[in-house]
Amino acid sequence: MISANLFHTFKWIKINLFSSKLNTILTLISLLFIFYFLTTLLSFVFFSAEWKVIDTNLRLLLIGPFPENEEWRIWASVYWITALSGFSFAHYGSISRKILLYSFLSIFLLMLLIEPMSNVNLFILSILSIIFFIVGYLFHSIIKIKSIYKNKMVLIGWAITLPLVVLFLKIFGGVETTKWGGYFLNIMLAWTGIIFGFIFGLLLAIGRASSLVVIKYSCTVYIEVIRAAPLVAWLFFAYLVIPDLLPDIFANKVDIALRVVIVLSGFTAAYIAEIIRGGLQSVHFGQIEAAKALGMNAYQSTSLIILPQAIRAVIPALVSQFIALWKDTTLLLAAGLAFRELLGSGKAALSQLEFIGKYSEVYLFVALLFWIVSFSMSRFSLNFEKKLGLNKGD
Amino acid sequence: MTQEKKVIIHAKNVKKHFGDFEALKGISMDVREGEVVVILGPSGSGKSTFIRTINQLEKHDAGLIVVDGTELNDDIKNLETIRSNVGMVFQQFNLFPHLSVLKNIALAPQKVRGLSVDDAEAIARPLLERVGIPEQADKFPTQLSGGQQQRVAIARALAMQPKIMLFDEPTSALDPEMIKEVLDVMKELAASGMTMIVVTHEMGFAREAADKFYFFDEGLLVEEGTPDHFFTSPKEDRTKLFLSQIL
Ligand SMILES: Nc1ncnc2c1ncn2[C@@H]1O[C@H](COP(=O)(O)OP(=O)(O)OP(=O)(O)O)[C@@H](O)[C@H]1O
Ligand SMILES: [Mg+2]
Repeated sequence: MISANLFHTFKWIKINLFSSKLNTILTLISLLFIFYFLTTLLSFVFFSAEWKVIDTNLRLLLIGPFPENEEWRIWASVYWITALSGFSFAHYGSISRKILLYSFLSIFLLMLLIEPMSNVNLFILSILSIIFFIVGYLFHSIIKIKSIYKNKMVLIGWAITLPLVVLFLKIFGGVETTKWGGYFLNIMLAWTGIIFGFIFGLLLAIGRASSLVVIKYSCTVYIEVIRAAPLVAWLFFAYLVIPDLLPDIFANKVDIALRVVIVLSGFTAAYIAEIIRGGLQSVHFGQIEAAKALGMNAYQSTSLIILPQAIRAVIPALVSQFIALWKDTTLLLAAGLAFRELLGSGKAALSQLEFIGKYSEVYLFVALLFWIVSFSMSRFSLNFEKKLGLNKGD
Repeated sequence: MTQEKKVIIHAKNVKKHFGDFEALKGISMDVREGEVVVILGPSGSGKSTFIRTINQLEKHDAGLIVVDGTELNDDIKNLETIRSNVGMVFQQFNLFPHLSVLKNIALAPQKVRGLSVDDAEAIARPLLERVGIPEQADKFPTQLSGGQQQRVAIARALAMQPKIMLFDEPTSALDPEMIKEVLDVMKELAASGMTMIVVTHEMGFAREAADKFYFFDEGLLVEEGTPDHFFTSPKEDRTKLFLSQIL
């Protein structure tokens, strides 16, 4: 068995990497680069880097100025999400255990690396989130109900997650949004931005396809105006101009974080609308006729036939847009808003006397945290596409 | 026999313009319950346009259309109800590619008729059996052959329990070896007493299944009669020319 496997591996290597002289040279050059890159990176990570800057500033980087005695709000949210993730993974089953194991292992290693047990509390609290994941996973197999109901539980669970997290953050006094920060703030902004941006974008796309002239042109004008200026400009607008435009009584009442979320989702919506419009155009005209001929009304044919096909066709573009929004949350820094999201927190850490010049450590860590979310999004979308049985033959 | 049955589709002087072009120049036709009607005619003669006015995928500009006692006009409130009583099968199948075969059939009964998922699927499965592909229920349309797809499309239309079935060249997008399997399903349907209007050039099927032929040319109804009349003694020159070309 093993020798047969080995044989196939060799064959694969020969066919894919060394099939011709040119191919061989390219393979060797690439290997050289990869080797050089990896050794440099690893020797930096394990030997020359001084991770104390991360260790000391971990709180700042992860949650910014969030008050220490209110941290339970974030942990409660994290546990809800990990438990629900466990339940969902068990439900969809398709996720390979290997990937799961690797991600746990790498999280664990990461924690060991930057957390030389100096913060035992954090360590235990993090481990607890893994336990919640497992609990969620097991809960799925313990409860004996029909699969459709479990399906509903997953969907409802994720649908109420954002409101629930906001509830955790706001209940019993709550924490002002100006005290939100770090990685946590990026996640909250991107998450709300994606959800509201998607919903609003969907409505804009439908509006732009509408036969009602007023609606159609309002949507078109909105999309074109928003896309005419960069996001930073709109963030300035939210921060500096909107208060002047609003009557005095409201001016400072509208939470800055809320304004930022409105700008992020409003901005993203314009792009999403155009992506979905492309999807709508790809749906064959006969589909609408078939739906009509079966007696479906406009709402039914749109929601059951046209939109599912339009959105399926543009999932990769949508996910790119979501990933772009995720990284655009760092523009808060550029817009000079009084928030310390992850990148801003990193800069703040670098300005501490003790850690001046530790750019590589800080930015590597920041990049890693951004990469984790971006990469998960792209993996998730791939899985999702597979789940939908997207068929290149369509 | 059929003469005694009531008229289920009554069309009188139906006209349709596309811009300046007059696609239908006044078509009149009565179809009785259980009748199988075949519409013949050269390309562009208005065959599709006419049968599409019957479920109002095309709105007619003038004339009268009464389907099962309801006049089709602009004030009509329950267009969806009328459409759900008139099944349509398209040349290009138009199955929903994002749904399994079973869901393709069960969707409309569930959402339009308001049946539960289980009840809708209980309608869908026997229909798949009837069109001869019960084993394909969980596949997606793109995984089926053209003939199988068209049979699913017929089952999908039948799932709404329509009183009338419209077929617009149901076999012209099919490879020759698949035409028969679709025509067989249509013959069975005709024999079961379904009212059918079929646009087709399959003269074998037409001769065997049809009660009546209508010949269209340039938006006009040129000649009508029994299949026998058309095969033995067509009157109009245009009919003769057309038949000589396709037979
Ligand atoms: N939506 C439309 N806009 C403009 N012209 C149209 C439209 N639909 C049909 N026509 C025109 O109306 C005429 C009749 O078309 P129709 O599709 O009814 O013909 P047909 O008899 O079904 O022909 P075929 O055998 O090619 O399907 C054609 O000349 C066609 O170009
Ligand atoms: Mg036609």
